[in-house]
Amino acid sequence: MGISDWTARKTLLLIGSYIFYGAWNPAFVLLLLLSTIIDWYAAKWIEGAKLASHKKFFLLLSLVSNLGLLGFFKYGNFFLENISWLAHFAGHNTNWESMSIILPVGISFYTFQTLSYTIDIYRGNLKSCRSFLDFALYVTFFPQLVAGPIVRAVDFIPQCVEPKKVTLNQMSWGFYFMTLGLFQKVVLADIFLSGTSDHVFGWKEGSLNFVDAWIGAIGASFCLGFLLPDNFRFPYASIGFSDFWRRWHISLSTWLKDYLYIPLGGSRHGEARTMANLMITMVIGGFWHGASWNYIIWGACHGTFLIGEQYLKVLFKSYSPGILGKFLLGTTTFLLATMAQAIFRAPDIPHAINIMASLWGFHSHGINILTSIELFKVLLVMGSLIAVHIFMRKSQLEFFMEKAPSWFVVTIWSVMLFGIVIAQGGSHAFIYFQF
Amino acid sequence: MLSSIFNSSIVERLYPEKNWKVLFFISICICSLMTLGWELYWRKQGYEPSLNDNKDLWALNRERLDKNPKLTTVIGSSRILFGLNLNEWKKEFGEKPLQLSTVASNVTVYLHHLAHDSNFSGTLIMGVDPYLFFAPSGAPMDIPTGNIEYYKKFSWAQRWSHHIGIPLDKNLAFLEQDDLPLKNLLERLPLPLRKNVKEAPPIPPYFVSVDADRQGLMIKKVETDPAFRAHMIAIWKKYFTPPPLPKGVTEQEFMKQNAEHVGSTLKKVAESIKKIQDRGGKVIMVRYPSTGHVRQMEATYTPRQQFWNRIITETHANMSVHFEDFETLKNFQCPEESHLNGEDAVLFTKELIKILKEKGL
Repeated sequence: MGISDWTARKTLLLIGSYIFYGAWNPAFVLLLLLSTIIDWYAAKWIEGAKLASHKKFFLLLSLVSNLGLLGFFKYGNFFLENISWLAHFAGHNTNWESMSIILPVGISFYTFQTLSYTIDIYRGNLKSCRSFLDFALYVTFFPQLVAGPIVRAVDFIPQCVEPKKVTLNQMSWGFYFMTLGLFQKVVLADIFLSGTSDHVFGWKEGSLNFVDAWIGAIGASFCLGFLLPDNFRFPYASIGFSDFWRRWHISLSTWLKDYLYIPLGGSRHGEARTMANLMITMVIGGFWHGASWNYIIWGACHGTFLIGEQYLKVLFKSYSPGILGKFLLGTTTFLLATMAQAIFRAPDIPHAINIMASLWGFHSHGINILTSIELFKVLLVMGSLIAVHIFMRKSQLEFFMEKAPSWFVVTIWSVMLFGIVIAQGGSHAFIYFQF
Repeated sequence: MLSSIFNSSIVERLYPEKNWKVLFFISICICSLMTLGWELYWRKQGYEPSLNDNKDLWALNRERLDKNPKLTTVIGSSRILFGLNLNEWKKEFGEKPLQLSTVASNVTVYLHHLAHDSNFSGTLIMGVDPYLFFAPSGAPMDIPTGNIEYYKKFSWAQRWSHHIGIPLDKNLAFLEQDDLPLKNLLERLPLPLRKNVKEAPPIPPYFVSVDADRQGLMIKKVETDPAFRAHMIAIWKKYFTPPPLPKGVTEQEFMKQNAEHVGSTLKKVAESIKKIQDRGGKVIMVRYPSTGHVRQMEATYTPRQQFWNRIITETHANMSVHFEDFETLKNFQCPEESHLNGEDAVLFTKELIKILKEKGL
């Protein structure tokens, strides 16, 4: 007997999502539930409060509890280590040992999601959700729970109201997305690139995420009748860093813009303040990725790139790049973004410095570490990837697929499926799980 | 024409107007045919369906010790993994021992792990290969450490994934994990070597199958295919050749560092053995046979007097068996000079049990 009632289907989806999350570590389902309940009530109280001070208090409650949980689980040890280091620097001996804390998978994603909900209600941009089931599903929806994108309540909750009917044809298109996402993750990232990356950086921590693996999440949602927004749009064809951040991790960059950059004043208070706001936003954006100075420096690099770009735009106000200009600007963007990514991926600051020194030729007696095979794999995939990104720069996958002949679609689809089957990728973690 | 897939007012996704279900069906059919061809090709190359000896299987077996901490447990590397027949042991002692040995592993990592498990109080059979016993880093340390860490974090999702994979592993030869994953096939592309790059040592090809209890069994190809056998022996020769001195270190300094490492290793091993003995457990050390060039290289680089004898003298295991010391064990021949085949593993285990019983097990 099929489940026809929409509420029953959503309940089943919610239970499935909790089981999915609990399969990693059952105890952390309680944490997810706690976060859901706090924001459910905080939102109701914000909406129901008559005094502005009360609204502010309930918003603070949501912010403190969400960021408190995130701070403890994700940044607890980082703060402890740095305070300990500072104390040691000031001549005080501390014997603080790192706490044994397991980082709940996807905590940064669902924390930012639920925060956007309470902040939007506080601002009056959104009415609180009437159904706890819909809200819990918004927080827990399994395709995007552990690796994003950061979906806004305003984008998701309305989809829970009307029952969805998915045709077999639409579901098959969803499968296409899932195949593409899996192929990029299992074959391109894990098989072709992760080994080389591990070799260069000297540690195994997740895999490369140059590809928009969120495509898989979009496909799975499609099959269930829900829509998720794009998170990446061919970022390696970006021309400049404003363009880059409109294409790279879009759900995070728009979140930071709406809930951090604009509240800080955005570009409304003069040049110096705009630059400071940009830098603060990007540093916090970097820190969101992980409890390490590498991520902070990565964020600061992007802040610097964006500020530099603003200055260049002022200096060359009337300059409109031709094809050669776009090529040079695009190449510069790619190289700078990739170099910053090396800091992001390095296990710690000394390694990052070492890699930068090697990149710039300061290790004249260094040895070659990459083998011919490793170079071949990286050149093949990165060359193809950049070519695809440039070709698709002004387009969308959907437009391309509409025009593509059926034989081409079938060939690509079969090859991708076969690649996934023979890959035997093993249990490589996805780097964004740790966020 | 591209159309909106649903009427969500905020998020809109387009989907191209094509007959996606037909395209999906055709793609699945083509992929299935390609997979069938892939399977037949690898079967023709001599591969048979077999369970993969991966971290999931190790973790699942390790969990048996949590339920029964007195279980007789085998640790070591590939020689004891292939060379100790679990069924023969069961015939004599009524229960199969737990096989936790893994290929190319430093046995001391597993020893310390079990010594730190305050519940473990069973009999521990350690396969001792002097070369691996003192290996300070690299695969001999990484493999057992990786298994232990995986077991500690073994999640329900990994458990389910493993159980779903078992029927596939048992029926599809191309899911063999040593040679046939795409990553490993790419590694064997015949590209010219890059100058001044230290290439990784060759990885041994698939030559052992395991069952759910992790009973290792050398595949027949080793005995029937002389070229394959020669290839294996060539790989062992590379493995058993000591690496050059590290840059900037004199031979004298290296020998000093090595002596310190050996001393500290033996001290830690003795401590771990004592911990197990204090809980009522027993530790038995066994040296499995090798033959031909491999045996000669072992005798040259890890002479018995300085390695095996010292291990036995300084670590105080309850019992020890070196194959050279027993008429019934000394004449086994290893097809590829380093491991026993299935039939000999049965015979060796029978004789080993007799010896251990005479020693009081």
